[in-house]
Amino acid sequence: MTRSSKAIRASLISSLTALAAVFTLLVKIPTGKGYLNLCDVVIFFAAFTFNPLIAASCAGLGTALADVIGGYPQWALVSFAVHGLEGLLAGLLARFSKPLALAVGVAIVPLGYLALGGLLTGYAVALMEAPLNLLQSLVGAVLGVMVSRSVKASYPPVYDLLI
Amino acid sequence: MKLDPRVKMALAVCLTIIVFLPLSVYGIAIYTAISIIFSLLLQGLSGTLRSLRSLGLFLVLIILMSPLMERSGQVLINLGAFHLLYRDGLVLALATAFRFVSISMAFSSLLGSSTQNEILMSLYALGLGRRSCLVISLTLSFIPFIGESFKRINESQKLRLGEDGHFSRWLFASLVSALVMTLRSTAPRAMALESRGCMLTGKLTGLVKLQSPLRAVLQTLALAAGFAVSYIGVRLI
Repeated sequence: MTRSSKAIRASLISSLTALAAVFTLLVKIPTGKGYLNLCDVVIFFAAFTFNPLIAASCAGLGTALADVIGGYPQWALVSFAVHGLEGLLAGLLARFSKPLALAVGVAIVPLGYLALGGLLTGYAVALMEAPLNLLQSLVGAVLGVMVSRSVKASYPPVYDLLI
Repeated sequence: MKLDPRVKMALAVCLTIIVFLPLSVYGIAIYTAISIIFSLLLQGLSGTLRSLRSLGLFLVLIILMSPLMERSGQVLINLGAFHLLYRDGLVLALATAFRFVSISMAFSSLLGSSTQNEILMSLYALGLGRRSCLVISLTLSFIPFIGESFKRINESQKLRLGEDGHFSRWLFASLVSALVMTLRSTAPRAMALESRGCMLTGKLTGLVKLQSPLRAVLQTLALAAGFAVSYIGVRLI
């Protein structure tokens, strides 16, 4: 890898990570039980546009930093693991089948929070939160695919950033 | 109390791991008390109360929901013919709540009593690569800028589409605009990084320094000894 591609990779990962954190902290769609955030939009965008490692980095780090900044540092490691895995698997599978990547990415979030969040809050509370996590992931995935297409159409130089 | 940030990180990890070891509910309660004491020493009363307040909703949910998962042991509360609360359910709820408080206090005292530079330097000292530290540092500096830009984009899209415009339309337009803005700044930022010597070997910014490693080692050894003695003591209770 050349020196310039290393710098672009660092710049791209940090920009997308910051955007994932901003979408987690600032975009809140009210639902009956709480709020949905749109971090998954950036995660699926990165997975479908760039490579699995970039998607995993911005997903794990962005959501973990959002938890730390938002005052919930105890969730940072759980978010890092769950969303990092979501970005990695969605990015890997998107190379073969995008519907499969979407399905796996959407399923990882509620299952991951159920498994790891259950250690933190107990499985009764984690089970109660699973439907909201599934809804958030689903909305984020659908919007992520739509946003990904629009961005590629409205800003073609995005292809120059592909590494 | 002034602790080296590397020691605080080790302390947070220890307090997280120790509450998952096989301990009675009294043992977990003791470690929860220890983590609250550390929080008081490191970030003061106001910081500790702020951290505890943010846990309120989850603690209520844990106390209400966890007993329903464990329905064995002596019945403590009956509601007519229905057994509402069992002893094992109560123990599970208390253990889960104590564990959650302990982990939360450990991490909030680490973050509440350290600066961003101290945490980054500690991560570097503990083996995180230079490029990863650079990415985290850049991200932390971009978040306020991207946040402000996103708010402005959101307002502009609302004005463009009108107040009666559908929520999903301006949200979608805002998301696309924010992503395009972020991607457009990627290449100039990469060039700026290179022109400042980043991604070249052997060049490190030396403006922020941690205390001597010897002091950190001594503090870590003292804490490790404290944990070992307390764990044996708690197991014997």
